[in-house]
Amino acid sequence: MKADPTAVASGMHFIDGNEACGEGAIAAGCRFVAGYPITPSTEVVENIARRFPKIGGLFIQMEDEIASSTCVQGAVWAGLKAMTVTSGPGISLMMEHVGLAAITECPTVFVNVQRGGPSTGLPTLPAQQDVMQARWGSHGDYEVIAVAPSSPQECFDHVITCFNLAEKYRCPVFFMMDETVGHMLGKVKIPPADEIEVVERVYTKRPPGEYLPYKIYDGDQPEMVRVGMGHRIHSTGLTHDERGYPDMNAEAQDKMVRRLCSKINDHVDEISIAESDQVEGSDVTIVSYGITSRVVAYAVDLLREQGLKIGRVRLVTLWPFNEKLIKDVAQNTKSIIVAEMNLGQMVHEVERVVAGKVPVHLIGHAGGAMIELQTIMDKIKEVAS
Amino acid sequence: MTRAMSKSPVQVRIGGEAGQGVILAGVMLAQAAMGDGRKVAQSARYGAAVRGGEATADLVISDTPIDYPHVETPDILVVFSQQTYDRFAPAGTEDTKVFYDPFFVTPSKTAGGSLWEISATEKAIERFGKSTSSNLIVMGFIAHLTEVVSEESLIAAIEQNLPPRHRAAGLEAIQMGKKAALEVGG
Repeated sequence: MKADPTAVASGMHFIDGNEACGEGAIAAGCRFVAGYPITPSTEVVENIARRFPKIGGLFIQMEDEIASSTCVQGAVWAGLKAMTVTSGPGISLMMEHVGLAAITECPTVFVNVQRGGPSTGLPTLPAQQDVMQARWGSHGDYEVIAVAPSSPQECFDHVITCFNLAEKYRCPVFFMMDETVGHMLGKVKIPPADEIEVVERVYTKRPPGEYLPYKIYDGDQPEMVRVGMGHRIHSTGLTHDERGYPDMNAEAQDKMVRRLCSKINDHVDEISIAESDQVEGSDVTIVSYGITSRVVAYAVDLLREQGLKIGRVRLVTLWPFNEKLIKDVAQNTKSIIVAEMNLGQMVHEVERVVAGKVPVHLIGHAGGAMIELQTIMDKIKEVAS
Repeated sequence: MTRAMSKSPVQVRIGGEAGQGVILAGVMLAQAAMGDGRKVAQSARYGAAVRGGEATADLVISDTPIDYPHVETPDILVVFSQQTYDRFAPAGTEDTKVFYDPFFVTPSKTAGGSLWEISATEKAIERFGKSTSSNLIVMGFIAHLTEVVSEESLIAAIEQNLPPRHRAAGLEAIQMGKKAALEVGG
């Protein structure tokens, strides 16, 4: 399926990452956004609010983030593709409903333009401190998908990735932007609609009476219905059976929770996007993601010119974590550095997977500015020597 | 056509108070560079307050893809406040061109780089009765002196960004900056 040519703003644009994110959502088929605008994400919904009336979408400025995160899920069950957009304090409030989207298998996109925290922290300044929250923020066992862009162009491209993955795996998907990438202006090429791949929702063809909302029929995921198709369904945050009815015992819980996790964990190779460059035979490989990966790329280029053997890995997909990739890195490099704009989050995942095979170092930063080039270069030189 | 400054990448930082048109100047300069067919990363920093406080626009203009989107060592530093001058001028090298408006900035003798004075606020008040076009006077001034962007692309960027009722004044402000540049020997 291709994007809707009447809605896609094809052409060359000079826009910031936030605006590009909104355009990407539109291209992906999103026609419902509910949110409580918050710095530094506001321009996403500003753009959506301007564009939606012209293309038949609906934006609602809600009373708060708790309402926003449930409202979008209502829109999904009504038959629309939907997202909510927020930052630090807002995403914290939404966490309960990330779990709701996980257990009801409601394909919902949560855009988090990360700012420095905790609490209200640094409204106008960047961080990458919500990475573990995206993975573990709601209670219970479940899996999510999270994608981190590093340029305005990728804000367009990869929010589409998020919508497509949400439909394919029927789970909450986080778009982990940050203030720098959100407010950075750059050239964004929006392709013609017929070059944009869009995954459509799989609606059941089974008639009412022969359909169970959480039964796996032919595909990998249960089939959805939308309001107006004539089916009566029950969607609940309680542990449920294939009928969607509460079924609260250890067996039902085990069956449901294991499926919520395995539907993601069994498809890491298909979901995961990463860049890997000159890892083999390197003295040190530096792992990063999001905006930090751009500083890293620059530092690595400069140090390679000096003759250092440095590998570089960039995680575009943060969750599910690409264990295979990192294991492979550990076998082909002498040491690993993780650079991230927090005081150590993804480094724990890397350490877990590397399991002591090679030393793992952290370049951490509490947020508020991008990690400085010199800091990264100094640490690479120190570890490589 | 004026040849755009051929150095690649060129790093430009514009600093001032929120409300002085610092960010808009950065956006227009970036659009002009894009109009010249170059690659641009433009970012901004500002506080949480609606008015006042420091605002900074960073531009990296390059012929090759840009990894690092912030300015490390400015080739061109434009300051509209003493605070941003004091903060950013010391980061320049002797190759840095520092453009300042004497209405706001008294440069020190210690900071590196060459100093270029442009009385943009005074000129704007004299001609338009208010200071709001001063950022564009500075843009015209630096575009001519540094060739960081072509005049054609700068004019196109202004036409794209300013509402119709302000365009004529905006274009005149650019010419006022260019004239000032010619007077200092640019």
